[in-house]
Amino acid sequence: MKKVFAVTSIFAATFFLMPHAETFAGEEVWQIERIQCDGGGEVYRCRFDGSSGCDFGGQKHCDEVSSIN
Amino acid sequence: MAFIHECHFIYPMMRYLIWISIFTLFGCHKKNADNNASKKINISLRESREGLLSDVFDSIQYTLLDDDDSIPLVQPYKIIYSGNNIYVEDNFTSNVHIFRKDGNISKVIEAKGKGPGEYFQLDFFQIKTDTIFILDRSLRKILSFNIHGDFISEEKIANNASGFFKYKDRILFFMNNNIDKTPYNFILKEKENVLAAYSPFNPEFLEFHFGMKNGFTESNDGMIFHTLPLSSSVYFFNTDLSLNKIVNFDLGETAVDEIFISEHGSINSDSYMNDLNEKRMVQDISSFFKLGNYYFLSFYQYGKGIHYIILNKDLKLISQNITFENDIDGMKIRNIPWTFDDNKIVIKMNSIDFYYDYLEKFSDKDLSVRDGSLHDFFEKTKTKLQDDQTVLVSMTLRNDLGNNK
Repeated sequence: MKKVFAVTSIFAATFFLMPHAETFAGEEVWQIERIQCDGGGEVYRCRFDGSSGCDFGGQKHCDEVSSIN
Repeated sequence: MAFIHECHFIYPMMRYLIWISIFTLFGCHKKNADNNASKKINISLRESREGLLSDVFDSIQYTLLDDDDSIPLVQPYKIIYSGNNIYVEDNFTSNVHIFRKDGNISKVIEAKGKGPGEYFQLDFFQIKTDTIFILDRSLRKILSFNIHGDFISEEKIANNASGFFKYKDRILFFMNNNIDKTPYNFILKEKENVLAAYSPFNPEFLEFHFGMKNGFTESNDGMIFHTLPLSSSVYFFNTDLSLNKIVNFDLGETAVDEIFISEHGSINSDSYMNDLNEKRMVQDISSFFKLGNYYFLSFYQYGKGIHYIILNKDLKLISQNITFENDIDGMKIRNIPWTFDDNKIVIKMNSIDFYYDYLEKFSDKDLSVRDGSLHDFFEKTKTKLQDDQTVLVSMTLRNDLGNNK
Protein backbone atom coordinates (compact mmCIF):
# COMPACT_ATOMS: atom_id res chain seq x y z
CA MET A 1 0.00 0.00 0.00
CA LYS A 2 2.86 2.33 0.93
CA LYS A 3 4.55 1.70 -2.41
CA VAL A 4 1.37 2.33 -4.39
CA PHE A 5 0.88 5.56 -2.48
CA ALA A 6 4.50 6.60 -3.05
CA VAL A 7 4.42 5.90 -6.79
CA THR A 8 1.14 7.78 -7.14
CA SER A 9 2.51 10.69 -5.16
CA ILE A 10 5.68 10.85 -7.24
CA PHE A 11 3.67 10.84 -10.44
CA ALA A 12 1.44 13.63 -9.15
CA ALA A 13 4.36 15.63 -7.84
CA THR A 14 6.27 15.32 -11.11
CA PHE A 15 3.21 16.44 -13.01
CA PHE A 16 2.92 19.58 -10.87
CA LEU A 17 6.65 20.20 -10.63
CA MET A 18 7.69 20.61 -14.25
CA PRO A 19 6.26 24.00 -15.23
CA HIS A 20 6.92 25.52 -11.85
CA ALA A 21 10.61 24.57 -11.75
CA GLU A 22 11.12 26.18 -15.15
CA THR A 23 9.47 29.36 -13.98
CA PHE A 24 11.91 29.68 -11.14
CA ALA A 25 14.97 28.43 -12.99
CA GLY A 26 16.38 31.80 -14.00
CA GLU A 27 15.34 33.78 -10.94
CA GLU A 28 16.99 34.56 -7.65
CA VAL A 29 15.44 32.69 -4.80
CA TRP A 30 15.49 33.61 -1.16
CA GLN A 31 14.71 31.97 2.10
CA ILE A 32 13.59 33.47 5.38
CA GLU A 33 15.44 32.50 8.53
CA ARG A 34 14.57 33.36 12.09
CA ILE A 35 17.43 34.69 14.14
CA GLN A 36 17.57 35.29 17.86
CA CYS A 37 17.57 38.72 19.46
CA ASP A 38 19.93 39.85 22.22
CA GLY A 39 17.01 40.38 24.56
CA GLY A 40 14.96 37.31 23.61
CA GLY A 41 12.47 36.78 20.78
CA GLU A 42 13.25 36.46 17.10
CA VAL A 43 13.45 38.52 13.94
CA TYR A 44 13.78 37.52 10.32
CA ARG A 45 16.68 37.66 7.93
CA CYS A 46 16.77 36.79 4.25
CA ARG A 47 19.17 34.19 2.99
CA PHE A 48 19.99 33.94 -0.66
CA ASP A 49 19.32 30.58 -2.28
CA GLY A 50 16.31 29.18 -0.58
CA SER A 51 13.04 27.97 -1.86
CA SER A 52 10.61 30.85 -1.71
CA GLY A 53 10.22 34.62 -1.75
CA CYS A 54 11.68 36.61 1.11
CA ASP A 55 8.72 38.62 2.31
CA PHE A 56 8.70 39.45 6.00
CA GLY A 57 5.27 39.31 7.53
CA GLY A 58 6.43 41.48 10.40
CA GLN A 59 5.01 39.23 13.08
CA LYS A 60 8.32 38.52 14.69
CA HIS A 61 9.81 40.92 17.14
CA CYS A 62 12.63 41.33 19.60
CA ASP A 63 11.84 41.32 23.29
CA GLU A 64 13.59 42.86 26.23
CA VAL A 65 14.12 40.16 28.78
CA SER A 66 14.20 41.14 32.46
CA SER A 67 17.72 42.20 33.29
CA ILE A 68 20.00 41.00 36.06
CA ASN A 69 19.97 43.91 38.48
CA MET B 1 4.96 35.42 -14.29
CA ALA B 2 1.22 34.96 -14.67
CA PHE B 3 1.74 31.27 -14.19
CA ILE B 4 3.25 31.86 -10.77
CA HIS B 5 0.12 33.55 -9.57
CA GLU B 6 -2.07 30.81 -10.93
CA CYS B 7 0.05 28.17 -9.25
CA HIS B 8 0.33 29.57 -5.78
CA PHE B 9 -1.93 26.90 -4.42
CA ILE B 10 -0.26 24.18 -6.43
CA TYR B 11 3.29 24.76 -5.20
CA PRO B 12 2.71 23.91 -1.53
CA MET B 13 0.64 20.92 -2.57
CA MET B 14 3.38 19.75 -4.90
CA ARG B 15 6.01 19.99 -2.18
CA TYR B 16 3.77 18.16 0.21
CA LEU B 17 3.35 15.30 -2.23
CA ILE B 18 7.07 15.12 -2.91
CA TRP B 19 7.77 14.87 0.75
CA ILE B 20 5.19 12.23 1.41
CA SER B 21 6.88 10.22 -1.32
CA ILE B 22 10.39 10.69 0.00
CA PHE B 23 9.37 9.93 3.55
CA THR B 24 7.57 6.81 2.42
CA LEU B 25 10.49 5.54 0.35
CA PHE B 26 13.31 6.46 2.73
CA GLY B 27 11.28 5.43 5.72
CA CYS B 28 11.24 1.85 4.48
CA HIS B 29 15.00 1.53 4.21
CA LYS B 30 16.59 3.86 6.73
CA LYS B 31 17.23 2.56 10.20
CA ASN B 32 16.02 5.05 12.73
CA ALA B 33 19.41 6.05 14.07
CA ASP B 34 17.76 8.46 16.49
CA ASN B 35 16.58 5.57 18.62
CA ASN B 36 20.18 4.55 19.35
CA ALA B 37 20.41 6.44 22.59
CA SER B 38 18.05 9.01 23.87
CA LYS B 39 17.56 10.36 27.33
CA LYS B 40 14.63 12.31 28.76
CA ILE B 41 15.09 14.89 31.48
CA ASN B 42 12.06 16.49 33.11
CA ILE B 43 12.31 20.17 33.91
CA SER B 44 9.46 22.12 35.45
CA LEU B 45 10.03 25.80 34.72
CA ARG B 46 7.70 26.63 37.61
CA GLU B 47 10.55 25.54 39.87
CA SER B 48 12.85 28.32 38.63
CA ARG B 49 13.60 30.82 41.36
CA GLU B 50 15.05 34.29 41.57
CA GLY B 51 18.44 34.07 43.19
CA LEU B 52 21.71 35.80 43.86
CA LEU B 53 24.19 35.88 41.01
CA SER B 54 26.89 34.67 43.40
CA ASP B 55 24.90 31.47 43.96
CA VAL B 56 25.91 30.36 40.48
CA PHE B 57 28.73 32.62 39.28
CA ASP B 58 31.80 33.85 41.09
CA SER B 59 33.10 36.71 38.95
CA ILE B 60 32.21 38.98 36.04
CA GLN B 61 34.50 40.37 33.36
CA TYR B 62 33.71 43.00 30.74
CA THR B 63 35.23 43.32 27.28
CA LEU B 64 34.59 46.10 24.78
CA LEU B 65 34.85 44.93 21.18
CA ASP B 66 36.88 47.81 19.82
CA ASP B 67 36.28 47.51 16.10
CA ASP B 68 38.03 49.15 13.18
CA ASP B 69 36.28 52.38 12.15
CA SER B 70 36.99 51.66 8.50
CA ILE B 71 35.22 48.26 8.69
CA PRO B 72 32.67 48.60 11.50
CA LEU B 73 30.96 45.68 13.16
CA VAL B 74 27.34 46.45 12.37
CA GLN B 75 25.24 43.57 13.69
CA PRO B 76 27.26 41.09 15.75
CA TYR B 77 25.62 37.70 15.72
CA LYS B 78 27.41 34.37 16.11
CA ILE B 79 30.39 34.68 18.47
CA ILE B 80 33.08 32.05 19.06
CA TYR B 81 35.86 32.20 21.65
CA SER B 82 38.85 30.17 20.55
CA GLY B 83 42.44 30.34 21.74
CA ASN B 84 43.42 33.96 22.29
CA ASN B 85 40.77 35.31 19.95
CA ILE B 86 37.09 36.17 19.76
CA TYR B 87 35.51 35.60 16.35
CA VAL B 88 32.38 37.58 15.55
CA GLU B 89 30.03 37.24 12.59
CA ASP B 90 28.54 40.47 11.32
CA ASN B 91 25.02 39.49 10.34
CA PHE B 92 24.68 42.64 8.23
CA THR B 93 27.88 42.44 6.18
CA SER B 94 28.71 38.70 6.47
CA ASN B 95 32.24 39.73 7.53
CA VAL B 96 34.06 37.87 10.31
CA HIS B 97 35.79 40.18 12.79
CA ILE B 98 38.70 38.68 14.69
CA PHE B 99 39.36 40.32 18.05
CA ARG B 100 42.00 39.50 20.59
CA LYS B 101 40.71 38.49 24.01
CA ASP B 102 41.27 42.04 25.28
CA GLY B 103 38.77 43.29 22.67
CA ASN B 104 41.25 44.89 20.28
CA ILE B 105 40.60 44.20 16.63
CA SER B 106 43.08 41.96 14.91
CA LYS B 107 41.69 41.29 11.45
CA VAL B 108 38.48 41.32 9.42
CA ILE B 109 37.70 38.62 6.87
CA GLU B 110 35.47 40.36 4.37
CA ALA B 111 32.67 38.91 2.29
CA LYS B 112 33.90 40.22 -1.04
CA GLY B 113 32.16 38.38 -3.81
CA LYS B 114 31.45 35.17 -5.64
CA GLY B 115 34.81 34.41 -7.22
CA PRO B 116 37.48 31.87 -6.27
CA GLY B 117 38.67 32.44 -2.70
CA GLU B 118 35.74 34.74 -2.03
CA TYR B 119 32.39 34.38 -0.35
CA PHE B 120 29.26 36.41 -0.53
CA GLN B 121 27.02 35.29 2.33
CA LEU B 122 28.12 33.82 5.63
CA ASP B 123 25.74 31.11 6.75
CA PHE B 124 27.91 29.48 9.40
CA PHE B 125 31.50 29.45 10.54
CA GLN B 126 33.64 27.15 12.64
CA ILE B 127 37.08 27.49 14.21
CA LYS B 128 39.29 24.42 14.29
CA THR B 129 42.68 25.03 15.92
CA ASP B 130 44.20 27.65 13.64
CA THR B 131 41.71 27.48 10.81
CA ILE B 132 38.49 29.40 10.21
CA PHE B 133 35.94 27.61 8.03
CA ILE B 134 33.19 29.71 6.46
CA LEU B 135 30.09 28.28 4.80
CA ASP B 136 28.38 30.14 1.99
CA ARG B 137 25.46 28.00 0.97
CA SER B 138 24.45 30.34 -1.82
CA LEU B 139 27.76 29.37 -3.47
CA ARG B 140 27.67 25.84 -2.02
CA LYS B 141 31.20 26.05 -0.70
CA ILE B 142 33.24 26.06 2.50
CA LEU B 143 36.28 28.33 2.53
CA SER B 144 39.16 28.07 4.95
CA PHE B 145 41.30 30.93 6.26
CA ASN B 146 44.14 31.07 8.76
CA ILE B 147 43.74 33.09 11.94
CA HIS B 148 45.44 36.03 10.25
CA GLY B 149 42.56 36.05 7.78
CA ASP B 150 44.55 34.74 4.84
CA PHE B 151 42.66 32.53 2.42
CA ILE B 152 43.88 28.91 2.35
CA SER B 153 41.48 26.87 0.25
CA GLU B 154 37.86 26.17 -0.57
CA GLU B 155 35.77 23.10 -1.23
CA LYS B 156 32.46 22.68 -2.98
CA ILE B 157 29.67 20.95 -1.09
CA ALA B 158 26.74 19.15 -2.62
CA ASN B 159 24.20 19.90 0.09
CA ASN B 160 22.20 23.04 0.75
CA ALA B 161 23.24 22.98 4.42
CA SER B 162 22.94 25.78 6.95
CA GLY B 163 25.62 24.56 9.33
CA PHE B 164 28.47 22.09 9.46
CA PHE B 165 31.17 20.61 11.62
CA LYS B 166 34.37 19.22 10.13
CA TYR B 167 36.50 16.39 11.42
CA LYS B 168 39.28 15.08 9.16
CA ASP B 169 37.53 13.99 5.93
CA ARG B 170 34.12 13.99 7.56
CA ILE B 171 31.55 16.75 7.58
CA LEU B 172 28.39 16.74 9.66
CA PHE B 173 25.81 18.99 8.04
CA PHE B 174 22.86 20.67 9.70
CA MET B 175 20.11 20.94 7.10
CA ASN B 176 17.79 23.34 8.92
CA ASN B 177 14.61 21.88 7.41
CA ASN B 178 16.00 22.52 3.93
CA ILE B 179 14.66 20.16 1.33
CA ASP B 180 17.73 18.66 -0.26
CA LYS B 181 18.13 15.02 -1.20
CA THR B 182 17.80 13.41 2.23
CA PRO B 183 14.90 14.09 4.61
CA TYR B 184 17.04 14.41 7.72
CA ASN B 185 18.30 17.41 9.64
CA PHE B 186 21.76 16.00 10.27
CA ILE B 187 23.74 14.31 7.52
CA LEU B 188 27.17 12.81 8.16
CA LYS B 189 29.31 12.55 5.04
CA GLU B 190 32.82 11.38 4.31
CA LYS B 191 33.84 12.82 0.98
CA GLU B 192 30.73 12.16 -1.09
CA ASN B 193 29.48 9.16 0.87
CA VAL B 194 26.62 9.52 3.30
CA LEU B 195 27.64 7.64 6.45
CA ALA B 196 24.56 8.39 8.54
CA ALA B 197 21.57 10.66 8.83
CA TYR B 198 19.77 11.72 11.98
CA SER B 199 16.62 13.57 12.97
CA PRO B 200 14.07 13.04 10.22
CA PHE B 201 12.32 16.22 9.12
CA ASN B 202 8.99 16.92 10.66
CA PRO B 203 6.78 17.57 7.57
CA GLU B 204 4.96 20.28 9.54
CA PHE B 205 8.20 22.26 9.95
CA LEU B 206 9.54 22.30 6.39
CA GLU B 207 8.84 25.99 5.91
CA PHE B 208 10.66 27.05 9.07
CA HIS B 209 14.37 27.84 8.99
CA PHE B 210 16.61 29.18 11.73
CA GLY B 211 19.83 31.18 11.70
CA MET B 212 21.31 29.61 14.79
CA LYS B 213 23.35 31.90 17.05
CA ASN B 214 25.48 28.95 18.18
CA GLY B 215 24.89 26.00 15.86
CA PHE B 216 27.46 23.28 16.46
CA THR B 217 29.45 23.87 19.63
CA GLU B 218 32.36 21.82 20.93
CA SER B 219 33.35 21.09 24.52
CA ASN B 220 36.93 20.90 25.76
CA ASP B 221 36.67 17.11 25.82
CA GLY B 222 35.72 16.93 22.15
CA MET B 223 31.98 16.36 22.39
CA ILE B 224 29.90 18.29 19.86
CA PHE B 225 26.39 19.61 20.49
CA HIS B 226 23.56 20.99 18.42
CA THR B 227 20.10 21.98 19.55
CA LEU B 228 17.12 21.27 17.34
CA PRO B 229 14.83 24.24 16.60
CA LEU B 230 11.16 23.90 17.56
CA SER B 231 12.07 21.22 20.06
CA SER B 232 13.72 20.84 23.45
CA SER B 233 16.26 18.33 22.16
CA VAL B 234 20.03 18.45 22.09
CA TYR B 235 22.03 16.16 19.84
CA PHE B 236 25.35 14.96 21.26
CA PHE B 237 27.97 13.87 18.73
CA ASN B 238 31.27 12.11 19.34
CA THR B 239 34.56 13.56 18.14
CA ASP B 240 34.32 11.42 14.98
CA LEU B 241 30.88 13.05 14.42
CA SER B 242 28.89 9.86 15.01
CA LEU B 243 25.78 10.32 17.13
CA ASN B 244 26.39 9.81 20.83
CA LYS B 245 22.92 10.46 22.21
CA ILE B 246 19.89 12.71 22.06
CA VAL B 247 18.81 14.46 25.21
CA ASN B 248 15.19 15.57 25.33
CA PHE B 249 14.26 18.12 27.97
CA ASP B 250 10.63 17.61 28.79
CA LEU B 251 9.07 20.94 29.76
CA GLY B 252 5.54 19.55 29.88
CA GLU B 253 2.82 21.87 28.64
CA THR B 254 5.17 24.86 28.57
CA ALA B 255 6.88 23.65 25.39
CA VAL B 256 5.67 24.39 21.91
CA ASP B 257 4.93 21.20 20.03
CA GLU B 258 3.62 20.37 16.58
CA ILE B 259 0.04 20.32 17.84
CA PHE B 260 0.41 23.85 19.17
CA ILE B 261 1.92 24.95 15.86
CA SER B 262 -0.70 23.22 13.72
CA GLU B 263 -3.47 24.82 15.78
CA HIS B 264 -2.14 28.20 14.66
CA GLY B 265 -1.44 27.14 11.10
CA SER B 266 2.10 28.48 11.17
CA ILE B 267 4.70 29.95 13.48
CA ASN B 268 4.42 33.03 11.26
CA SER B 269 0.90 33.80 12.35
CA ASP B 270 -0.03 36.61 14.72
CA SER B 271 -2.10 34.19 16.78
CA TYR B 272 0.96 31.99 17.30
CA MET B 273 2.99 34.91 18.64
CA ASN B 274 0.13 36.10 20.82
CA ASP B 275 -0.37 32.66 22.31
CA LEU B 276 3.37 32.24 22.91
CA ASN B 277 3.26 35.34 25.08
CA GLU B 278 -0.12 34.81 26.73
CA LYS B 279 0.45 31.15 27.55
CA ARG B 280 4.10 31.79 28.44
CA MET B 281 5.46 29.14 26.14
CA VAL B 282 8.99 28.04 25.28
CA GLN B 283 9.63 27.56 21.56
CA ASP B 284 12.98 25.82 21.82
CA ILE B 285 16.31 25.76 23.65
CA SER B 286 18.01 29.14 23.67
CA SER B 287 21.51 27.96 24.63
CA PHE B 288 23.23 24.70 25.48
CA PHE B 289 26.92 24.79 26.43
CA LYS B 290 29.37 22.55 28.23
CA LEU B 291 31.15 24.71 30.80
CA GLY B 292 33.94 22.79 32.51
CA ASN B 293 32.28 19.95 34.42
CA TYR B 294 28.80 21.39 34.01
CA TYR B 295 26.21 21.81 31.32
CA PHE B 296 24.50 25.15 30.96
CA LEU B 297 21.04 25.30 29.48
CA SER B 298 18.77 28.30 28.94
CA PHE B 299 15.16 28.58 27.86
CA TYR B 300 13.49 31.79 26.82
CA GLN B 301 9.94 31.66 28.13
CA TYR B 302 7.83 34.19 26.23
CA GLY B 303 6.11 36.67 28.51
CA LYS B 304 8.18 35.58 31.46
CA GLY B 305 11.96 35.60 31.03
CA ILE B 306 15.10 33.57 30.63
CA HIS B 307 15.72 30.43 32.68
CA TYR B 308 19.31 29.62 33.66
CA ILE B 309 19.69 25.90 34.27
CA ILE B 310 22.84 24.11 35.39
CA LEU B 311 23.29 20.36 35.11
CA ASN B 312 26.21 18.32 36.35
CA LYS B 313 28.33 16.15 34.08
CA ASP B 314 25.81 13.32 34.48
CA LEU B 315 23.02 15.67 33.35
CA LYS B 316 21.50 15.87 36.81
CA LEU B 317 19.76 19.16 37.54
CA ILE B 318 21.61 21.16 40.17
CA SER B 319 20.49 24.76 39.75
CA GLN B 320 17.50 26.48 38.16
CA ASN B 321 16.98 30.24 38.19
CA ILE B 322 14.91 32.86 36.48
CA THR B 323 16.86 36.11 36.67
CA PHE B 324 19.22 37.12 39.45
CA GLU B 325 20.14 39.94 41.76
CA ASN B 326 23.67 41.00 40.92
CA ASP B 327 25.42 40.84 44.27
CA ILE B 328 28.85 40.51 42.62
CA ASP B 329 29.37 44.01 41.22
CA GLY B 330 25.87 45.50 41.10
CA MET B 331 25.84 46.19 37.35
CA LYS B 332 22.59 45.88 35.42
CA ILE B 333 23.07 43.09 32.87
CA ARG B 334 20.61 43.00 30.00
CA ASN B 335 19.90 40.28 27.47
CA ILE B 336 20.06 36.53 27.19
CA PRO B 337 23.10 34.21 27.43
CA TRP B 338 24.66 34.31 23.98
CA THR B 339 27.84 32.25 23.81
CA PHE B 340 30.50 30.74 26.07
CA ASP B 341 34.18 30.77 26.82
CA ASP B 342 35.61 27.83 28.74
CA ASN B 343 33.65 27.94 32.03
CA LYS B 344 31.98 31.30 31.40
CA ILE B 345 28.70 32.22 29.83
CA VAL B 346 28.89 35.36 27.74
CA ILE B 347 26.16 37.94 27.19
CA LYS B 348 26.45 40.65 24.55
CA MET B 349 25.17 44.16 25.17
CA ASN B 350 25.05 47.32 23.17
CA SER B 351 27.70 49.66 24.56
CA ILE B 352 25.40 52.69 24.70
CA ASP B 353 22.90 50.75 26.83
CA PHE B 354 25.82 49.69 29.00
CA TYR B 355 27.06 53.27 29.33
CA TYR B 356 23.71 54.66 30.50
CA ASP B 357 22.94 51.65 32.70
CA TYR B 358 26.25 52.21 34.45
CA LEU B 359 25.62 55.92 34.97
CA GLU B 360 22.13 55.26 36.26
CA LYS B 361 23.46 52.80 38.78
CA PHE B 362 26.73 54.34 39.91
CA SER B 363 26.94 58.04 38.95
CA ASP B 364 25.95 59.24 42.41
CA LYS B 365 28.10 56.73 44.29
CA ASP B 366 31.50 57.13 45.86
CA LEU B 367 33.51 54.35 44.21
CA SER B 368 36.90 52.80 44.72
CA VAL B 369 38.40 51.74 41.40
CA ARG B 370 40.39 48.51 41.52
CA ASP B 371 42.30 47.16 38.51
CA GLY B 372 40.12 44.83 36.46
CA SER B 373 36.89 45.84 38.19
CA LEU B 374 33.69 47.07 36.54
CA HIS B 375 34.54 50.64 37.50
CA ASP B 376 38.05 50.32 36.11
CA PHE B 377 36.55 49.01 32.85
CA PHE B 378 34.13 51.93 32.69
CA GLU B 379 36.80 54.55 33.37
CA LYS B 380 39.04 53.14 30.65
CA THR B 381 36.34 52.73 27.99
CA LYS B 382 33.69 55.37 28.72
CA THR B 383 34.43 57.41 25.59
CA LYS B 384 34.24 54.42 23.28
CA LEU B 385 31.18 53.04 25.04
CA GLN B 386 29.19 55.95 23.63
CA ASP B 387 30.04 54.91 20.05
CA ASP B 388 27.46 52.16 19.56
CA GLN B 389 29.78 49.21 19.97
CA THR B 390 29.46 45.85 21.71
CA VAL B 391 30.28 44.88 25.28
CA LEU B 392 30.73 41.22 26.14
CA VAL B 393 29.88 40.29 29.71
CA SER B 394 31.57 37.05 30.82
CA MET B 395 30.25 35.41 33.97
CA THR B 396 32.44 32.64 35.38
CA LEU B 397 30.56 29.63 36.71
CA ARG B 398 31.37 28.57 40.25
CA ASN B 399 33.25 25.29 40.39
CA ASP B 400 31.55 23.98 43.53
CA LEU B 401 27.98 23.89 42.27
CA GLY B 402 25.94 20.96 43.50
CA ASN B 403 28.34 20.12 46.31
CA ASN B 404 25.70 20.76 48.94
CA LYS B 405 22.95 18.78 47.26
